[in-house]
Amino acid sequence: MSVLDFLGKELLYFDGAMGTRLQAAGLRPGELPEVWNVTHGDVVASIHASYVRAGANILKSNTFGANALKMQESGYSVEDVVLAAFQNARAAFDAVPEMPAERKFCALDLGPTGKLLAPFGDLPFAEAVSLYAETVRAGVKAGADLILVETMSDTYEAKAAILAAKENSSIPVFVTFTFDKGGKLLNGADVETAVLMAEGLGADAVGFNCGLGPDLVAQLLPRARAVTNLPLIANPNAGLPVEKDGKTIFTTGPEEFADYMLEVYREGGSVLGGCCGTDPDYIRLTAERTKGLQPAASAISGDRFVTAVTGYGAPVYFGRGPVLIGERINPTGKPLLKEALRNGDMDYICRLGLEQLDHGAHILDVNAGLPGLDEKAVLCRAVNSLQAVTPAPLEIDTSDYEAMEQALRLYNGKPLLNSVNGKEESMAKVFPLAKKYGAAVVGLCLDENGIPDTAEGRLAIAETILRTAARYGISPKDIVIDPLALTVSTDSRNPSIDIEVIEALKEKGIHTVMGVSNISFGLPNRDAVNSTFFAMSLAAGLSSAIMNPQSQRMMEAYRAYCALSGADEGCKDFVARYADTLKAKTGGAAAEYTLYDAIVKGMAEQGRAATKKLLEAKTDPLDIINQYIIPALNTVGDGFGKKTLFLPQLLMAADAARTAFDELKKQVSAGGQENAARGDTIVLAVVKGDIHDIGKNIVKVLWENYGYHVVDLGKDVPAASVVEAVETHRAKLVGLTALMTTTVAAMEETIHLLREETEAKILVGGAVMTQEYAEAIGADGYAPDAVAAVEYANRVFKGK
Amino acid sequence: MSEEQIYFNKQEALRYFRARQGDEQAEAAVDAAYQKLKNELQPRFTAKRFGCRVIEENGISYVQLDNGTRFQGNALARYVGDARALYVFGATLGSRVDTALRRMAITSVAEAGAGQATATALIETYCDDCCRMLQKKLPEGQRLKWRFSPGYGDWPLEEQRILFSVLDCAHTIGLTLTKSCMMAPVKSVTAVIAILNRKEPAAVNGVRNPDPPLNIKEDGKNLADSEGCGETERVSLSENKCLRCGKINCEFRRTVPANDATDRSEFT
Repeated sequence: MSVLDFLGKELLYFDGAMGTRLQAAGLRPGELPEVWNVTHGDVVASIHASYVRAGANILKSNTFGANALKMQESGYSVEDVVLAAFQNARAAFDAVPEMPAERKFCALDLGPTGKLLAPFGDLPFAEAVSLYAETVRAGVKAGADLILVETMSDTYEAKAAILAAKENSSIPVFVTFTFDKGGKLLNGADVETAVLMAEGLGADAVGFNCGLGPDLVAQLLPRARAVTNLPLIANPNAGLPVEKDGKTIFTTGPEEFADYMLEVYREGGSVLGGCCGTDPDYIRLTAERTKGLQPAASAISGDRFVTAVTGYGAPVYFGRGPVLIGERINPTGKPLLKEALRNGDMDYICRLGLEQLDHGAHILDVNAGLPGLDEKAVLCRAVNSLQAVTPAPLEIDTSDYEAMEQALRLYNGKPLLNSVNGKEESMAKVFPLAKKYGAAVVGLCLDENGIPDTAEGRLAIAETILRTAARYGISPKDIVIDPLALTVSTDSRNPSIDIEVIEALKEKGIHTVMGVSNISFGLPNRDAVNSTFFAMSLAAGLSSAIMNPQSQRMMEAYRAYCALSGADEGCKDFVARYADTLKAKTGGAAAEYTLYDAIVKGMAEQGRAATKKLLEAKTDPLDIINQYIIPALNTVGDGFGKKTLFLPQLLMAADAARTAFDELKKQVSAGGQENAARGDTIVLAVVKGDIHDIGKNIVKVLWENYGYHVVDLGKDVPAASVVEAVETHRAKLVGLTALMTTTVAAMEETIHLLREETEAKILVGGAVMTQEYAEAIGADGYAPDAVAAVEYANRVFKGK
Repeated sequence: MSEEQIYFNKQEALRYFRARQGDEQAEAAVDAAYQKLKNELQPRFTAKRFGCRVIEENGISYVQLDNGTRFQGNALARYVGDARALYVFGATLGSRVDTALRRMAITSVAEAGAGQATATALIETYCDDCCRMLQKKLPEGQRLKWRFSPGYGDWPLEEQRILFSVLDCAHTIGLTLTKSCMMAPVKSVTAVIAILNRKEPAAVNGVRNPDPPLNIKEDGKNLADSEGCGETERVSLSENKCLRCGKINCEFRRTVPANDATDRSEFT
């Protein structure tokens, strides 16, 4: 029988701690507990058996750290320790014949890798999946009945483990997370976020382990219960750890633990066990306290129809107030974004995202579709880059199925996927991906016959989408229907068709989304039409809109609707936002300073205003650069060199110059001209192994301010990538930085490779560098600071 | 321990930002950075106490813990001296701070600089707070010395690997080590803290200085003669580190704070 035959129908019991008991049996600090599966199998088996006698019917194999990273220097393979672990667990079950065989289950235990995944650390997501996959394959070979992904404090790592489990086995997957008292993981994800993601990825049960005692788990459990129908697991610690006489002890005794576990059961826990500090007494008393009880009604009844998407922070719920999806990361009609996508300028894309979030977007739509571009690669890079700077959910927007799969795979959280439609082919391609990666999907009301011109026609397609989704195991809660806004200028019935569809779907409890601004194509004053239609749609029950949160009128419509509908209780947000409207309507800073002064004084907004003023006066952009920006930067650079100005002034001046350049770029773009001739190209990178990039970023901004075209490869860059970029861009100068002594070797290696393959000059910098070091490792130049880097570039390119 | 609130020592942030006295723009920048960081803090620390002794083999000094672990380095051995116990210590502000710093870097290079400086001041203050808490648990007559981190003096940065295996801090506080021995999250500190068994004056803000001035060598580079010591990643010391730095005319040398001569830096 499978554990699924009992799960949620009767209470199941995990065992308790293994690690602390192995320590008591002689495991030394720093020694790998998993190795004891082989070297001290009898000890491991006897600990397991003690838990079985106490009533545990699911044993966690002693494989918490059995991955290739941790085992590499142990002298044992992953398979060795996993196979031995299961022999020990089976032996323990065999030693307790009085427990029915069909109720004995061995779980393959997968703990964290001990690494942070990129971009937060240096373990690539794909490598994390591979590490777990190896252990899963060994577990399956060893006869695991289920997989327990446990002690997860990072949603991204949990996703890697769950994917590995699902892709390499067909046995049930349980997932438990370790939260702090406030219900957050170490990466900031909420209880609800973690649970929604795990459920989406196909976990059979979710819950809590380690970190907290049962009292605190009981408090957090309702938050999980509120968003999932899955059975809930609770393997808490024996209270919180405290240090006494140099030793870690746990504060909750077995009796108290069992009392709290009864509370955990009442809150919906149906798989109960223990973690650090627990022993067989804890499990025995827990089993005794809950003997004969059925899983609490709250754990098994009622469909929690929660439509939500997540990044790795708080979830965004549909149906609890209008959801705003920022539409601006979509290259259609946006020349600057097109250029950024072609150049791989992810900073620009991230800025677009952050601006929209600052203006009130809840979710960011990400579309990287551009002819001639490798959409799969660019979309994945955009998703990764955005997720490196914000935990907000993303809407993955592509019609390229390969790009869709890769982006869904790399995504950290439960994404919104844009989109599927009523065409057979679309549904056959999209639904399996949405199911595998746990996405909520936007369903467009169109099919092979196009977009119906009646509400009934569109609703019929919506029904088809929902029905077909169900065949793939996708709940209606994970479908958000887009009625499709068509412009009112070609048919005045179009808005009312949308309103009718929205109302009908709301009646059925199905959530909706719409690209509102399509309604005004071909009309003047589009903002007025869009914002009014937006308000009408919200009043009809529209759940979410793909819109521009930087449109003042759209945001006014949204905030006013929230105030009027009660979504903004007491109009608090509205008042907070608009109480000072009159003061705010100054239209940005007036130019009180010349551009030169604004840059020297480091006043970014003044720099923007002064640049606008110069452009309005028809000043040639090149004159603006040569007569204002460069002289101002030179003044600041000189002052920095002479120590009359300090680092903050240098950085603020760089920012002010950048705002001036931004305005110039906008002017060039608005004029429909090709981008102004680029300056000389410099490749810039933080060397392999180094993840500190503040110095590199300062140098980049200064070089750009002086007109150089900087190809920024980012941090932790392999030598071969630097060489490739130099060759591709025919760069004459390369800037390399390293902060730590441990990465100087990587810098030296990069320099050697550059010398072999290219003729580029090499400038090095970073906290650990000195002139002597630079010479010793073969660099052409050393820049102690960013101003020196500018001077060096000027010498290389301009002979100055 | 997880304590979301950390005292914001603005003067320290300004010092790490390398701002001159009275720079109002810089002050506004670190204030703004603090506002953006304060809700992202998820500070945690872990500390394990070990018995220890200094040994010498083949002319190399080691500090050996009572669990058999060995750390190598003359400066470390001098630091531990005749102490018979020490804490192995790790602390982090959490990965959300890294994300916020990346966000700032995307937006503005000045904001990024202010953010780095502010986060550095926060992790240092947090470490000091943790040490005070550890100090309180010590019996009468024992006190903690200042923190001594890998990469400091001739203690190889690579020994972070040993320190991390002793602390198990990926599991306990979410602090991990990259292949090249960098800490992730970045705003983190690891150290050993010797427990002194004798009663002697505390090393605080110029009151008394029990430790001799230390011209720290890192791979042959004399930090005291370099451009300052503002990088947490490179040098991690407790608040009075300027007192042990030989560069007495350093423009960023920390003066005895007139308005912050509280007990914050005293581990009592």
